Amino acid sequence: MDSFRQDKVQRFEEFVDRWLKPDLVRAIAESSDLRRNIENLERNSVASLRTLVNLGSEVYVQADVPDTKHIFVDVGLGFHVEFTWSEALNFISQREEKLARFVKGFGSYFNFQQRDLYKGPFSDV
Amino acid sequence: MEEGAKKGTVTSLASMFPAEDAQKAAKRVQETLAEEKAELDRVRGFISDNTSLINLVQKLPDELHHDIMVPFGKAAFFPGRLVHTNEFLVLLGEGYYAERTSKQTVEILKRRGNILESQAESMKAMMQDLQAEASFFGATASEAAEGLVEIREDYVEENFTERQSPPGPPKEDAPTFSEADEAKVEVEDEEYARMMSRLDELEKEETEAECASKRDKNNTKVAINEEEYARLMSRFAELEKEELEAECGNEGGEDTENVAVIDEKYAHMLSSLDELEKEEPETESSNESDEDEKIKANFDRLMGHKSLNKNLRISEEYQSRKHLEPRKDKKSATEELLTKQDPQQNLTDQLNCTGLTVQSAAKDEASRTRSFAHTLMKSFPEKALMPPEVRENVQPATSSRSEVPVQTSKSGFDSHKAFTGSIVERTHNIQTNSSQQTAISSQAPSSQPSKPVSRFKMQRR
Repeated sequence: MDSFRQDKVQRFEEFVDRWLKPDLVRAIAESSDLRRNIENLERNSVASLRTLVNLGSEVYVQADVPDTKHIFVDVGLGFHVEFTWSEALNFISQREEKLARFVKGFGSYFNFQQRDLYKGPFSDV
Repeated sequence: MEEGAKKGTVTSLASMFPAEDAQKAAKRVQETLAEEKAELDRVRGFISDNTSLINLVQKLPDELHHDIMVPFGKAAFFPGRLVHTNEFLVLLGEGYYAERTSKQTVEILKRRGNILESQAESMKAMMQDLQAEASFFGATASEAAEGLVEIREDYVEENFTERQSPPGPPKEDAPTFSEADEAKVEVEDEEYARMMSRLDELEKEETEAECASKRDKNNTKVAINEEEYARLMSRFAELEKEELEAECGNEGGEDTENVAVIDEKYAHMLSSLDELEKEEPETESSNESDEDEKIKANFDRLMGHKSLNKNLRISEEYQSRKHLEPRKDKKSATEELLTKQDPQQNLTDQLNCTGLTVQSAAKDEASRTRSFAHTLMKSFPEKALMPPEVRENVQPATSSRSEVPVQTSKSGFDSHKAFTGSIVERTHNIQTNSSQQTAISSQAPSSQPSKPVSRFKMQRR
């Protein structure tokens, strides 16, 4: 029974370390990137945009964005919501807050891990 | 079943490859196989991506512009459209991009696709190998679990007789034949071993004797020299006596000849005295080397020579007690040795006999006797066994012997001289030998012929 629990804990830790953490890091980076980009657009008051689109295998094609006022932001589960810049920024700030909570949770998780590390050998709970 | 246990080995496969280990190995191979498979899938994904991209690139120029969602960062899009659909910016590598048309881009992509294909092929081959390995390990594991055994028996070509004999008992003919053979071989082997051991023994004794002599060398050298002086002086006296006798006996033409010969002998003796003094220090080493050579050169002769040499030396240094011991050993050693031994013993007997006969004859023909002595010195059993009548014939034969180069050379100018030089020392040795061994009266000493091999000769060789 104990070994089974141990095994489960092991797998859970692995899952957190190998998937959740990188996902979290990526999500944080994405949101911060997006916020910076939108702020850049606002600052420069860009109306139209010409950029290069990666078709895959590092093959780029020019793309023209005639109207930059409306932006479609990924809200998760494959849904994209049409926002204006201000709405988008608001959403991004909320998401960052949420991600921060996750980070906090991981922090407590690490604490738990460390506590386990220190107390494990001495208390067989 | 017993034979199998004797000849071959039966090892269960499980002992060599425990089922657990085999299973572990199989598992590991399976893991690597899975990794390889994932990698292959990845490459396959690249290939499919590449082909779809090729299609896309080929289709893009069909339209002037395409409405798309333009990605803005990774989590956001702008609604927009592709423009300049026949202009592609392709990464060549290391951060260099090239503007290409649709067709050129397609060519580049196709080349990339070929590379990916070959990569996938090699991975497939590797996977097949791994598959085979995994199946082998799996089979081994299952076999080990089943309790399979490996029976191994070495193929032995020789010992045919031995092989035959075990199955032999039912058959009558084979075993007798093989056993006889075996016995023969065994006896021969034994004989050989004994002979070799005997040889070793002899060599050891020799070296011991040498060591002993070396140890005492300083002390004994002087003694030996004195001894030899004494011997020479006695010999002188003898010769003088003989001279007188010869003069008395035949006063014919022979007389002068004899005198001349004897004079020559005197001169030779004097020179040999000088030589003796000079060569004495070298004696030991030269003796050793000579004997070694001989041992190597002729095995058969060795027995005769060695025993004679030993007789000589031992009689000099240890007296006959030791001399008798080796003889006994030899007798017990082997049949072959025994056969050889017999002639030797005969030889000694003969020598004694001849010593007696010679004594009488010596007065008549001193020179002849000496020549006979010379032949005896070389003493090979066969020659020694020759009847006295053949003596004269023997002399030329001895001179023609190649193994005694010095002797031959000596006999070249004068056989009498040759033997006289070498004789001197022998007389004494033989005297002790014959007197102690065969308990022959003190008459024996005068019998010069019984000297086996002179030390000087050994030296000179």
